[in-house]
Amino acid sequence: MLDLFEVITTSGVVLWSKSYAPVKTSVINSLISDVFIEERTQPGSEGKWFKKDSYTLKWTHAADVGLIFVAVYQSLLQLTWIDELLDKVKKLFVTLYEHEIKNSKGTKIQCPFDQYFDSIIRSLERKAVGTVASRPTLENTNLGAGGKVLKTDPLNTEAKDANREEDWLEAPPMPGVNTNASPKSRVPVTDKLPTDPTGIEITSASLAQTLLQPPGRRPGRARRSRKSTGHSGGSSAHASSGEERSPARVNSKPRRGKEMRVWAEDGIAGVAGEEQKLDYSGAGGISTDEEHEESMRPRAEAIDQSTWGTTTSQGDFLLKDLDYEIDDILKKANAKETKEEANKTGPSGLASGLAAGAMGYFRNFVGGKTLTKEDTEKAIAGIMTHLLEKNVAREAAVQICESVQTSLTGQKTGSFQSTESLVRIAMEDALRKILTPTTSLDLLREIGQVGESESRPYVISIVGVNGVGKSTNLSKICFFLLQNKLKVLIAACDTFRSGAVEQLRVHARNLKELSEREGGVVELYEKGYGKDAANIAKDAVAYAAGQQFDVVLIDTAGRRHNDQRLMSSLEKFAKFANPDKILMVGEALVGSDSVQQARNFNAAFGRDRKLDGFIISKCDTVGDMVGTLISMVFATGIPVVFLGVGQNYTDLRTLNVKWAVGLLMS
Amino acid sequence: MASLSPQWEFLGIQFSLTILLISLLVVVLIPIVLSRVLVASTSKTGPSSVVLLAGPREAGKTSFLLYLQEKTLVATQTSTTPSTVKLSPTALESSKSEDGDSSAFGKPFHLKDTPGHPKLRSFALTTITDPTASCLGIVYMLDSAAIIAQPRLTDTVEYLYELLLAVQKRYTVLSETTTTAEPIPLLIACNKNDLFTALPSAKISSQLQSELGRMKETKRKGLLNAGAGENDDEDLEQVLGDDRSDQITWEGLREFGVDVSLQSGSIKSGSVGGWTSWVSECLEA
Repeated sequence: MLDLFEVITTSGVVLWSKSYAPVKTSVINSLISDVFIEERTQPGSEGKWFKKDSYTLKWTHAADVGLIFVAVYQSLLQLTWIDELLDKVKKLFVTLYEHEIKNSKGTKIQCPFDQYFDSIIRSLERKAVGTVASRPTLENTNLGAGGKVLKTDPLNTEAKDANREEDWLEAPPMPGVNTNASPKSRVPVTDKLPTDPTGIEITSASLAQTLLQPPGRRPGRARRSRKSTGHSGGSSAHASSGEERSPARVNSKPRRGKEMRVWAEDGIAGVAGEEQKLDYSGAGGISTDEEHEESMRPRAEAIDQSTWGTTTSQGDFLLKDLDYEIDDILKKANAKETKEEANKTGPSGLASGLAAGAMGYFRNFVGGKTLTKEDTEKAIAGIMTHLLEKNVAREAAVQICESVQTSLTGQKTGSFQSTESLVRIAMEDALRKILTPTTSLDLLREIGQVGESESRPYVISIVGVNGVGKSTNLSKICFFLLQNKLKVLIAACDTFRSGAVEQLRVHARNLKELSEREGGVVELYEKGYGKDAANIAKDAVAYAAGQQFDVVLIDTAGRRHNDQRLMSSLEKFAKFANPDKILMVGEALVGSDSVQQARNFNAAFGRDRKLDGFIISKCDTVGDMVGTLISMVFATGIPVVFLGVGQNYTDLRTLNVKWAVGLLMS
Repeated sequence: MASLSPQWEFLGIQFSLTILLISLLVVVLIPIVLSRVLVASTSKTGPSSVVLLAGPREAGKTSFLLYLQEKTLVATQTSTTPSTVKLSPTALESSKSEDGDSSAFGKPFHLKDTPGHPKLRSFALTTITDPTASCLGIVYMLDSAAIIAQPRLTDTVEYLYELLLAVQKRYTVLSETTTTAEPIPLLIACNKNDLFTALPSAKISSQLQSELGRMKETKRKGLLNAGAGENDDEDLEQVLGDDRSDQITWEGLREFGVDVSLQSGSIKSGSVGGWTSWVSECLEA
C-alpha cells in the first residue's frame, strides 16, 4: 500500500500530501538533493526509482508549472500501478490548479484534492484487484469489516443466522472484496435474489422499519451484532481449518462471479445487479453505518441510478460526480497531448499551419516561445559536439545534454532570446552545478580540527592509474603543507615499481631543503620493495602518531583500473591505513576512459569507503580542453580538490568553478 | 508626363494594394510584438526592493516565507529553485499587536527565498552581487540545534563566509562609484530554538565569529585557485574583512558593508517577532 503521496513545488512547498503511514521528511529530502540536485541515480534504477531506508520512491515532474509528484511506498511491496497513479494525478492536478500555481509563483495554494486522489486510487486498486487475483488492501479490509459488523437489516436476520457461518467462511480469503455490506449479497445462498422491483420495495419497507425504531436501540443492536461478530470470527478461524466446511467455500465461488462490487460515496462496498441494474446500495448504505445514516436516508427513497452513476461495460458501477469529472479531465488532457503531437507531425490546414509557422518564426526572434524537445534538438546537438571537442567523455556529454534538454522542455524563452542562448545558459548552469562541491574542501582546516580534537595525524592517501603523477602531486601537496608549518610524514607504499622509493626520497630531500626556512618538517617512511603496501601504510600511521606528525601522505603503486587483481588490494589498504582522505589522481589528458577510471577507483575501497576527491594533473598540457574535470566529477559526484598546473612544487591549484565553466564554454 | 500618369495611377493602385497589405500587417504585428516584449521585460527585470532569505538547507527558510504569507506552519521539502513573493508590510505584524498605522501605508516588498543546497547557492550570491537588484537586507537562517555537530557548523559557516564575501565585493564596487554606500543589514536568524538541544544566540554568535576567523586564516594560507591571475580583478582572491588580522567580529565587518545582528526565534512555536520587526526596520531604513 502507498505510504505517502506528495505534490511539491520546486521552491520546496508541499502543496498537497496524503499520508497513509508516517514517513520521515528526510526520505523525500534525500530524493530531492540526491537525484534532482546532485543528479546521482542509484545503480540499476536508470533514474526511475529511488530507494531510501525501507522505502521506494517514484516521481514525475511537471516542468512547466514547476511541480514534483512523489509517491512513497514500502520496498517490499510490488505496486504495479504507481506509474499510472503518478501520471493520472499529475494530469489531473495540473489541469485543476494550473492557473493558481502560475499565479502563486511557487508558494502555497489551496487545493482540495483529497477526493480526487482517493477516487484515482480506488479505480487503480480496483483494476489491480481485477488483474492480480484479489489482493486485499488495507482500505478494503477495514471497510469490509466495518460494513459487516454493522449489518442491522431486520429482513435478513433469519437468512443471516443461516448463512452466518458461510459468511464468515468466505470472509478470510477476500475481506472487503466480495463480502459486501449489502444484505443482498447473502440472499443468493438461499435463492431469494430479488430480481424485480419489489426487491426495492422490500428494502424500503425494511428501511421504514429501521426508521421507526427508536434511535437509542440501534447502537445496542450494533453492539450485539458486533459481539456476535467476535464470536463467529473466532469460530471462523476454527472452521476454516475444518474439512466439513470446505463445500461451503466451494459453493460461494460461483456467486462471486455474479456480484459487482461498488464503492459508494462514503467508501462502503455495495452491490449492483447486472441484469436489472438495480441500485441496492441505497438500502445497503442505510444498514451499514450508523454515522452515515442521516445522510443516506433520502437516497433510499429516490433511487434513480442514472442520476448519480452508471455501470461501465465491465459492470463496474461508477459514481457519477467525481469519477466522471476525473475521467473527463484526463480525457481532455490526453486529447490535448495527442493534438499537440499531431500538430508537431504535420499542420492540419495550410492556413493555420502558415500562421503557426509565422508566429513561431517571430517568437524565435522576439522570445516568449514555449520550447519543445524538437526546438532544442539542434542547439543541444551543437553544444554536445562542443563538449566532446573539450574532451568531455561521450557518456558524460550525452547524459548532461539529456538532462539539460529535459530541464528546458516546457520553458519559455525570454525577450529577444534565441533557443541557442537559452541552451547555452542552461548548460553553463548544469556544468556549474556539477563542479560545485557539496562538502568543504578546506584541507588545512580539517587537518587542524583533527589535530586539535583527536590528537592524531591526518592521513591522506593518493591512488591512481600508472604514470598520472601520483608521486609528483603528493610532493606538491607536501610542499603546500610544509609551507603551513606542518610536520609531514611521507609513506612510500609503492613497493612494486623499481625506483619508486628512490623517487620519493629525492622529493623528500628537495622538500626538506626548501622548507627548512619555513619551519616545516618532512620525513620519509620507507620499507623497501616487495612488502605488503597495506601493512607498511598501517605501520607508517602508527609511527606518525608516536612521533607527533600532523599529516601522513601515503603514496601507492599505480594500477590499471580494470585489473581486478590489483584493484582488490585497495580495499585492504583502505581498511588498514584508514585514511581521512583518499584522493585519486587523474590526468587531464585522458579521454573517454576517465569515466570508467573514476567509477572503478570509487568502487574499489569496499562498501563503506569512497573516494574523497580528485586531483586532476597535467592541466597545463591541455589548454582549454579540461573536459576530464566534468567527466570524472559527473561519473562519481566526487569533487575536484586540486589541479596540477605545472612542473614546480608550487604548481598546485584549487578548482575555480567559474574558471572551469568559462573554459568549457569558450 | 500626361502619358505617364495613367501608368502611375495603374501602378499606384497596385502599389497601394501592397502598401495596404504591408501596413495592415505592421499595424497588427507591432502591438503584438511590443506587448510581448514589454510583458517579458517586466517579468524579467526583478523586483526593486528585495529582502533575501539565505542559509544552509533544512534551516527553515521556506517555512519562514510561508509563515509570513500564510500565518501558519506549512510543510516543506528541500527547495531546488528560488521563489520571490510580494508581501505587504502588514504581513510582518503578528496578529496580536495591532498598532500598524505607519506600516499600513508602507510599500510592499519582495522576499526572495533561495535554496540552501551547496550546489544551488549561486542563486543567493548572484542576487547580492547583481548590481540592478536593490537588496534591502539579508536574513541568514540557521538551525540552532544542528549547529552543534561540526560538519553542520562548517557547512553553515562556509555559506555565511561566501555570503559575507559577496556583500563585501558589492560594497567595494558600490563605494568606488557612489559616495553614499550604505552597509547592508544582515540578520542571522537562529531558528528552531524551541528544541531542547538548541544553542543560545550569544553562544552561536561567538562560535560563528571564531569559526569565520579560522576559515579566513585557512583561506588566506590556502592555495591559489586555478583561475587566479588570468582575468585581473574579478577573481582575485579576496579575504573577508581587513588584511591585518584573522579575527572577524561583527563590528569589524561594518566597515566592509555589512551590518550583522543576531536573533533567536522559532517558526514552529511562532516566535518570529524579533525577525519580523528587524525586517520592517530594514524596510523603513
